[in-house]
Amino acid sequence: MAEIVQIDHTADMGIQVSAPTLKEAFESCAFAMFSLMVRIEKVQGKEELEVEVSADSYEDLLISWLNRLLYLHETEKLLFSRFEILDLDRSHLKARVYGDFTRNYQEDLGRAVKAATHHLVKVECDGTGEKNLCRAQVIFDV
Amino acid sequence: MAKVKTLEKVDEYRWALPTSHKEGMRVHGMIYMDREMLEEMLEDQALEQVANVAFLPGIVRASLAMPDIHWGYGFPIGGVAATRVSDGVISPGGIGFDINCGVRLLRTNLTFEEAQPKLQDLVNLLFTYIPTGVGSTGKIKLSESAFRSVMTKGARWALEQGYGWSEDLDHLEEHGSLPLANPDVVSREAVKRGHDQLGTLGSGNHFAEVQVVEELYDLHAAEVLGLHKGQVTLLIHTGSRGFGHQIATDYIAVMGGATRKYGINIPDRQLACAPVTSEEGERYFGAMACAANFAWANRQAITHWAREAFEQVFKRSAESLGMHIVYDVAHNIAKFEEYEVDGRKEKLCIHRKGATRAFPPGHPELTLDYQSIGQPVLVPGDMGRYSFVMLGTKKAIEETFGSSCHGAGRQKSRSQAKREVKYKDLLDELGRKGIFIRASSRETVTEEAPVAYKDVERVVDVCHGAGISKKVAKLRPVGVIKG
Repeated sequence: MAEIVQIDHTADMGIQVSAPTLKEAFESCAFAMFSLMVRIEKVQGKEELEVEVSADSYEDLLISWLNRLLYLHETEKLLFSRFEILDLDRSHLKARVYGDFTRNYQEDLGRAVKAATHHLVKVECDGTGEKNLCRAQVIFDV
Repeated sequence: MAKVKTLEKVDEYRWALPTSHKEGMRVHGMIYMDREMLEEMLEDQALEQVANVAFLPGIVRASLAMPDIHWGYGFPIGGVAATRVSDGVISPGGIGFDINCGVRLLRTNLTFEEAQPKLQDLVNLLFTYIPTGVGSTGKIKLSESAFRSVMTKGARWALEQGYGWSEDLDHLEEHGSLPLANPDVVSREAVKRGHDQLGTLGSGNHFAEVQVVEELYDLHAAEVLGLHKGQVTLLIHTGSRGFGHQIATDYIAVMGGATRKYGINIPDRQLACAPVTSEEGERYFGAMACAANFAWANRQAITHWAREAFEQVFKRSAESLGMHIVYDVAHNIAKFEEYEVDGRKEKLCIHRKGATRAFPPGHPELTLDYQSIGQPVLVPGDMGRYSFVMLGTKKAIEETFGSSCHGAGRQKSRSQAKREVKYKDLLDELGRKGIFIRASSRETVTEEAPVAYKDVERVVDVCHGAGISKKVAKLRPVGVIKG
């Protein structure tokens, strides 16, 4: 099970995620980001999209992944609630995401997220011992 | 406070952060603040961010912090950095995601007594006419060619479509259109994201606020600005919406590569940058200017609908209601401006990240009617207290590259505000003060509660005391619409 904690940042909002695998950490960051925008438990997964992003490092990949979802949220008018990473390596991510149209959740909307930033971004995995634990941290501009 | 000792007190309002604070700082930091505010500021990472900005190649004079400075992402919010165009860099993080987020003030000739009986109708109609909140889309759908015109013409495009009066442009910073905008360097993604967002307010700290002029500090200047005690005004705060966010996102990624390519040493990835005159630097400026122009067109369209809402409620034309624009300022932007550095004129790239241009009387950029008083600096506070109108000064040119504060500055995080503030209690409290609010999201309202912000009067008083702008009027909110 992944664990999501909000970071107190004066102007904006941040999240810290711990998960058993890197894939789950990336999925949980996306879940946490949309949780800032809507009561995510209400959002049904009727619509699905495939997402692919490339970057030079896990940190850049995480930021590109989240910013790609924000782009799709605004252009496709969708809120996403379920994230399934299909492939993930240091330079490439492929995922299938599920959601529903924003117009169906007018009563459940919170704040808009403008972007995921590179400020204090972290992706770390502890591969020693039996417990593989991955941690990710992102600050959003809201 | 241990950290205060790392600062050198220059006078009551100025604190210097020496280059010895962090290896790699090219210039010192200069923080405009009183001692009490300074101690509050040292509780988060804003000071380190002032130091980090001082790493930027080509930075001159100092990494500046206005009194509303607080912890941002990369640059502090409330930061000003000037880099030499000849050998310095431009950093998208020094402008931010909401490019040309800014504030516009409209006046009316209504008194509060005249407006009060219809205030709720007015706020409700403003809320209907101006789309707000997460994912909101506007009434304007832009074709590809129209979008290119928005990018290059800014507010002038809106005017050509019938959104506004020809005199409006005279009272906008840059006349509502930043030169060097280049639509060819804007991504298809940015265009797709912005094509239905023109004329929308957005969410977060953006708002439109009906206000009353409560106090005047400079009667002559207020007269020139057309401001009188007891008069109703309207303040609009918004920016370039998803279009600007996407341009910033695109170019921060580009600048990550450029920082490596040009071998630039910066302590925070969000400060990624490129030489101003490099291909990457020029492309970013061209795209940034497109977003700045989108924001001016956005505020112009919103102005038009606000005028229509007033007309509908008060059954008089906007002209007869005297709904002139007092001024419109950008507070997240980069500009090329000339200043004297070490005894000679130098062309600089001024990054204002949560800071307002504050040009003095006689500045050639100002229109004739404001030549004698200087440029209006609009400083919004929180929704429960007040906002201020100030004016630019010669001292701002000498010290802060013609810059001043941009708002109250947050003192509590959003989650902290949400924990402490109950939505209903807040509405009751605002109601007792005679403030009526309409919002798309309860969460936004509680996060933006007055308690989350510093008292903007303290911020304004430091700017006034330090001489980097001067107080003219205090405006009290009576009706608010929010995202």
